[in-house]
Amino acid sequence: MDSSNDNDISDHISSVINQFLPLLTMNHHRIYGYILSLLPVRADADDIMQEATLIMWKKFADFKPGTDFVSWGIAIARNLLLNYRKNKYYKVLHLNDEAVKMIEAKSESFIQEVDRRMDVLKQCVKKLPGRDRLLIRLRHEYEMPVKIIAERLGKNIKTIYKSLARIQDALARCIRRTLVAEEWR
Amino acid sequence: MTDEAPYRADLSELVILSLDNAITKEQLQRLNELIVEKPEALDYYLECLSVQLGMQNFVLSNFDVSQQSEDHSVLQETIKLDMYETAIHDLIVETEAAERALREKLERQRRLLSTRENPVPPKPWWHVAFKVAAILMIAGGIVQLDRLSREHPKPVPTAVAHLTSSIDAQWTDSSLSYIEGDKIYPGPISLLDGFVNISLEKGVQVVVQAPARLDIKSSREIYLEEGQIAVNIQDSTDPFVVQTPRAIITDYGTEFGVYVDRDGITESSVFEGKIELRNRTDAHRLETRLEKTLLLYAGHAAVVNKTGSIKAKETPSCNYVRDKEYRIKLKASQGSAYHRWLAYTYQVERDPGLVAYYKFEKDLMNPGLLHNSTVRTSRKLDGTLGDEKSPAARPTWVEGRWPQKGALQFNATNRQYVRLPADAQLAIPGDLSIVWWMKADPQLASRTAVIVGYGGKGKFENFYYSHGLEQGRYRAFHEQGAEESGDDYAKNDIEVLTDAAADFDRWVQVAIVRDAATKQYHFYIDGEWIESHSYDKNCDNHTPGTIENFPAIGCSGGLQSEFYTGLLDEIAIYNRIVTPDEIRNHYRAGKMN
Repeated sequence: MDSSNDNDISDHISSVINQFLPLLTMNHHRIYGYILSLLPVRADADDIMQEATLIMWKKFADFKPGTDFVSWGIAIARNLLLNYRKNKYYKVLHLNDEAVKMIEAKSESFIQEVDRRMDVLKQCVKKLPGRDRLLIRLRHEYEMPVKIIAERLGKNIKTIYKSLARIQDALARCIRRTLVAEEWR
Repeated sequence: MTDEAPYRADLSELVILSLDNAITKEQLQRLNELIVEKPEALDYYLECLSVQLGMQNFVLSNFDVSQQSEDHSVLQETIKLDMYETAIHDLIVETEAAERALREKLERQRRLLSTRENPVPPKPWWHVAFKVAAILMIAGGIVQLDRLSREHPKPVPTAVAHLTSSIDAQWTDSSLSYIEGDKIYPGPISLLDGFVNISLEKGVQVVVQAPARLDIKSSREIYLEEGQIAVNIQDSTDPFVVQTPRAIITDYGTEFGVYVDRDGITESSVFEGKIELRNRTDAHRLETRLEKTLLLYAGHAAVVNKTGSIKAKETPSCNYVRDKEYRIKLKASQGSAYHRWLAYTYQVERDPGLVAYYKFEKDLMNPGLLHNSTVRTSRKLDGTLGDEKSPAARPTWVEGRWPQKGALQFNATNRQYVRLPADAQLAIPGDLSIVWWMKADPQLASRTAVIVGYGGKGKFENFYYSHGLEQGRYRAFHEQGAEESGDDYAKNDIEVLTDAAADFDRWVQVAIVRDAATKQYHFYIDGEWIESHSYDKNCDNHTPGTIENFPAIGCSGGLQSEFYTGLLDEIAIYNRIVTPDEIRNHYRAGKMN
């Protein structure tokens, strides 16, 4: 294979990546959201997302431009999740079939709303007290494990989890209130 | 779904636990049940996940801690932020190994991409390596490399104290709450309810009483923004300082209390040793620029007001929960009925309407005394067991409602009683409430006096009242202008007996409340109202008699009659109407189980 062929191939790959990357970047959170809703264990959901991304990359030639990239990605993720759920270790600490079925039934509307919710979330986070913002910053920006947060703050893990749950609840309420208010405008 | 849905807190926590793979089987089962059984819970579950997604993706870039830098609390948080950053640094170090593993993983996957069914053969691969790696990093949510470029963090602030224990503590912000054994770092502490005991170095114990906002700046310094603390210092090697918005208190080994109100007005009371109280000279007000200092010794108290002036108070405040009371409250919170009662007695003692309070706790050094523990009347109304000339007239100390507690056994045959001082404070003509505990002997005389009050100085006179039992009923009695003797004797007696029969051979709480405005006696047994009776004339001053007299417990005083037989315990005398709730609380605190 001569060098001109090499260049052609390289250009082709670059072109494909330039199509694939923006689509993935733009829709990553939607596909990941779908996975996370059915597999609410961050590390496992990350693995599935990573695997799904690899498959999407490999099969990107099958994707028809102009069609729904998210649906395509979710279809791939769904198969991976099905396989994952067949794993004998899966059932130990994961959602049961009935719960998964019910979540799946809501997943479409969930995916559709996720962007709006994330927009509103920005405003809601700003309304949190400074201490709460710091806590979620440690958790999400610095990805500090709860155990480390607890150690550093001289508290027990349970207290930190309760605080995170309270903050999450406050944000969920804020998003809901804001969305309802927007609908009435 | 309403915002008040009871499962929300649960579900929110379950989601976070699940995301961290920290959920238990039972918790997972609960999560499954909620999702399956409650459609609104399913919605909420998805709402929680959208919050998590949002956080994970881009909200972080919107944080701006500096926007509130003027706020005091955020300033304090910044101190903690230093600590967080240090923790982050540590985390980075800890994850460097993981980082290397990740790079290796990226490399393996890059190779995987280059050799599998790519749209086109991946040659030359290094042209796309960066973008492929970027895809994988996005896909995995693994954006950790930026951590490596962070500045080296500042030194870790050391813990300055730890929480020894707490009683019903509620914190203003649960994310900054503490439990027993927690280390405390410099930074704001805000207690909404309850009490906490904090230990600092060198034997310093601080009892914080809610509501309070403070900052333990070091092992020798506390800033009290608002609220109340009691400090007990064993080691006086180094001065201990409490700063408030308007004062600086320097202690040299003692026990003292500090109270700061919303305006920063500071009160300090000294229980032992001495302190130096100084106004702050760093305030902007002109009048506070002049530094003033006052030395306070045990039993002294002073206030630094808004203008910075310092005024001495006559007596220290009795409202501080000091170390001893705190320890009693702690034992009470752990289930000890005796300590529950003992803790409650502190509350009773602080009542400004309390005239005398006999807790019937034996004083081993002075077993012949029955102490009055009312803060206001102090030791002035201490009782004396029996008559010095007749040892047989002294009631006997026995075990009370609990093994730790005393009570007095009275025997009418031996004419036993407790003599009280003939003090004007026991002359209570208007509203009057007396609460006591008794275990009466069924063989007692037809009429017996439990508590008798007089107001005069040694004569049969002035606002006589006598409560006890008569003919198996509870009895309230007072006089209005009664004569000492003769044909008119008892013509102005006001005597009220209950319809209900008295209880014998068991501990009973009796409360008799005289409402002078409505001229009614209200009777309560074991914390519950049983009867009310009207009378026509209030207690009034009457003609002095000639018999030497005195108030007493267990007999009619100077008349030396109506001797009681049985056990008596805890007598509280108020010059106000004690409410039904207060009586009920008094009973609940003092009941045996």
